[in-house]
Amino acid sequence: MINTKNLTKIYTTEEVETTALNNINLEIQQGEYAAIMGPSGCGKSTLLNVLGMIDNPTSGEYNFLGEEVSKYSERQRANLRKANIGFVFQSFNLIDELTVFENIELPLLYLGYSASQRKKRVHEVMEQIGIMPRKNHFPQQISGGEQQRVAVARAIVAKPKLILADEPTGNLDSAHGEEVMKLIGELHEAGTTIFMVTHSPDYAEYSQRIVHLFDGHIVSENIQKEFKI
Amino acid sequence: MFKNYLKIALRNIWRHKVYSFINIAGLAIGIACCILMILYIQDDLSFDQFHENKNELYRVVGDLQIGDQISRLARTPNPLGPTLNKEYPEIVNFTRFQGFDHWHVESGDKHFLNDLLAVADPTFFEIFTFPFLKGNPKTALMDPLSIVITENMAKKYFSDDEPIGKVIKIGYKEFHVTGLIKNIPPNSHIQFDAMFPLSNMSYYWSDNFENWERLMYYTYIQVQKNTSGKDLSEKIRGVVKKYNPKLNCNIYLQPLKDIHLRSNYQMDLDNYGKGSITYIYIFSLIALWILLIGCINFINLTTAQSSERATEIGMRKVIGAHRTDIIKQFLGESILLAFIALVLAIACVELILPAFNNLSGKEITLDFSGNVPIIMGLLAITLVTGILSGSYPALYLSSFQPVNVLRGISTRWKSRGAYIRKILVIIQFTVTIMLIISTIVIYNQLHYIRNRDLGFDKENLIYFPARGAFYDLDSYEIVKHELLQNPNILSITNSFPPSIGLDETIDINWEGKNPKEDIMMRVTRVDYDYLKTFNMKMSQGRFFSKEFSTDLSNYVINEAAARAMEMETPVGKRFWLRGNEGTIIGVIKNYHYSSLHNEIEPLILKFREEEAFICIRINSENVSETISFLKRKWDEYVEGGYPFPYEFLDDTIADFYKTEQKVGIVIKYFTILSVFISCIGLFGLASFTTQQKTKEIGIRKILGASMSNILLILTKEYIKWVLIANIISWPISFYLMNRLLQVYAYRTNIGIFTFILVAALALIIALLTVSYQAIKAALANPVESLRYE
Repeated sequence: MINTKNLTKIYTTEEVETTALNNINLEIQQGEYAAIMGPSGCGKSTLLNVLGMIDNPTSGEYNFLGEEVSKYSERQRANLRKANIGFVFQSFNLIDELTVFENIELPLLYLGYSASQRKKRVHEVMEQIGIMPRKNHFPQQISGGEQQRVAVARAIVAKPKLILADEPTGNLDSAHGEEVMKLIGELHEAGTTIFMVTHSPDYAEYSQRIVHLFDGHIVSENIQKEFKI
Repeated sequence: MFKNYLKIALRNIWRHKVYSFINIAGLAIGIACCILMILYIQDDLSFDQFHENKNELYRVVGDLQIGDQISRLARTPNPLGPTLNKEYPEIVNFTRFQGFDHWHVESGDKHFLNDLLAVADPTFFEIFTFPFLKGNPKTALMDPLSIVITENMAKKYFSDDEPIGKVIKIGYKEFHVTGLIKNIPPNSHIQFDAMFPLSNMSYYWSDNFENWERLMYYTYIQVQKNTSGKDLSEKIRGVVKKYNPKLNCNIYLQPLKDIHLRSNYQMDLDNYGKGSITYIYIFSLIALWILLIGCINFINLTTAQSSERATEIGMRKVIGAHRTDIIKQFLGESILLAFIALVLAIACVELILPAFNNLSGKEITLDFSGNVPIIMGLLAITLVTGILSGSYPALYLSSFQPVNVLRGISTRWKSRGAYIRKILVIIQFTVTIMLIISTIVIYNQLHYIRNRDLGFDKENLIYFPARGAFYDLDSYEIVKHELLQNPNILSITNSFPPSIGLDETIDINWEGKNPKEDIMMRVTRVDYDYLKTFNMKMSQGRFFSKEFSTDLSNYVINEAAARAMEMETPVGKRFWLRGNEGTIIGVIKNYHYSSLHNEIEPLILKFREEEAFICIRINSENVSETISFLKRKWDEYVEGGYPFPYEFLDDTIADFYKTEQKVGIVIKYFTILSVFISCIGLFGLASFTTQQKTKEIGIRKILGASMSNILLILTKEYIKWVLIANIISWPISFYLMNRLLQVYAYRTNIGIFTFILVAALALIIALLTVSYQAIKAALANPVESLRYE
């Protein structure tokens, strides 16, 4: 599903050049659950953003679902992204002015679903995630764990093939964190490919493969569970 | 999707109530100003558009050259109309027109002096469309003693009786009502209550319709369909010179639709609210400007607040929104805001229309039914407002990169937006300062006008037309003697007061005049007591005196005339006015015989022969007693119970500057609005930037900064902006105001003091506006402010 060759990302400000990703060669299979670990500033989030096509690599190749996307325009990337990728962020990034239902519904709006289709699908997801009672609440009115579950619901509502999660438990206490991790596990069970950034070795244990990143390099990969297609 | 945008827009408006208020109020005021301007312009453009033949109608006007001076005249020689009609087949019809007031009109036991009378050729009602309720427009004025009256006039004289066939007496002549027309609509430059045939003027004015030297009437022509007015203008150019080589006057055609707005002619009709295309331009510009300030507020506040929306934009993009989706969303929001503002603006307009009508002298209503132009205009303005104010923020916000936003870095796009905001605020203040300067200069000029020494004393002077016993020259002496017994009556003259009843001529001659050079002089008619009653001064010689019986044919001239005649000592020289020989007995010191728009030009004073005005200087105390005394005398001396038609001269003179006064008032209100909108915008911006600097202030306070220190930090930027705005606006407004004052021959100086005053004013206003936020921030507990971060 994902295949990168010498993927490099360099941030240039007026005075400093920072190499965030250095010749990353990575392959992720459909249905895989991979975690990426490493110290702060090692390039984890950058890698996730590049893979999620919200950032362009400076050089190198990136093949997503058989398409070479590293030179795609913003519009092409957006089209590919909205159909195939769901995002979960550490800081939830829910829109404060929209209710739980409306936040989850948002991706479907950009995909052009009809109102009845949207309603049906959002309800399904809310049932699945267990936030039905919070349907008409605004993000500020619910707990952090619930907010992240809403964010997960939003990420999966369009049935993406890939979910990119950037420290999904970073802002949560352990109980809520556990809940979210279980949820992600269930999604994987159901066939979704997961690529997750995490700080926590415990949560990394949920994955099948752990990629260690240091100063923009992949330093090691260890497969911990048998990957079955 | 639309519903989603709408929801989020409304929720944002609700959440940021202060900013929303600033945005909506600013836009609403701007839109309201524009609506008023549209209504005003629509009314002005509707003038004279109700005539069926409107596209074929022209007024004949002329450029009269005397010496090297060209006067544009609205009136043309008496015989011109019939001559043109005869000689040019393109011209199918013509009529001459003139109006008067203050004439005796009576019918039965009703008599008034305040009817607006008019004369015209019998073809008048064929050319112009004034709907007849009774009578036949083609024949109504055929009989020389026929008269056509309006509904109002019929009601006034005959109540509900049948008016047709009734007799109306004007002066000593009796007319029969042959037509009843609807009241003349206010948007007509031709206004009258009653009209009778022009031929009667040979009786009233001893007028000669064959005389090419007399320019008593306005000449209108109707041309054949599809005739080019321009071509015809070229053809008729020299007609006046052909028949009267002495009159160096080129004539041309003025389209009917131009008469209201684009006339700048001497001797033009002035008994209706004349429009001015210049003022329309000025006011429209200012109205648009006010709308623009509202838009600037919106742009500034939206971009300043952008971090509030950053997550949303980032997330939408991550989910798959294209940049165009985001642009559409934010443009939609600004258009929504503009429509909310429109609703408020309409309510505002309804509220202030009565006051606006009062000021403009119009009868405008805001009526949407069937008024397609206004509906389209409003929609267009609202859309343009929404797009104008929304497009920069939309482009700016949609350029956010989700990767920056979502990494949670408090990104520094600030710099670019801040730069634009700075420029916009400086523009706002520049124009607002220009408006303040304009207001002050206009009011200075009005003050100057009120207080300038006119060369005579305009205060405590009342005048009224000489009628009844005042009219008859023998009885006038008796009446005068009797009135002067009253200690409150200081002096009386039977003359034309300054600025009334002036007449112009080039038919003059004097000893030693260069026969090749023509000059135009004004003529006014006075009697012995003129000088004394108006407190004027002689420069040489003496004024008319009873002791010299020959004075009835002598002349007094003003200093300007003496200069124009290039005479050091004109006294004693022979002088001919319209062929009448006399001696110059004195030179009167220059006084302003007309408004301060005009230079003092050569003036001849001759002894009056016909009826004039009774001008009375009264004691400045006991004014109301004196007036009721005069009113009693009027009732006694003037038969028929006419209301006492007195006026104060200073009021009449103030009327010359009615337009300026109105312009002053309008600009004043525009300025206040402009200051208000700029200030609420600045307030919003200040509250935002102060919030941004909370951390900086906290750290500085912990490090020991004093309150005044902090205040300086928070306000010095605004001080800088206002100073820059001042520096930009000074030369521009100096130039513009100089241009504006050019219309006055006599004008106030634009002193540097005005500019300094305005600069100080602008600074104070700006500081007061931002100080609330600054003081709040400076007083805050530093621990509190640091916790924010």
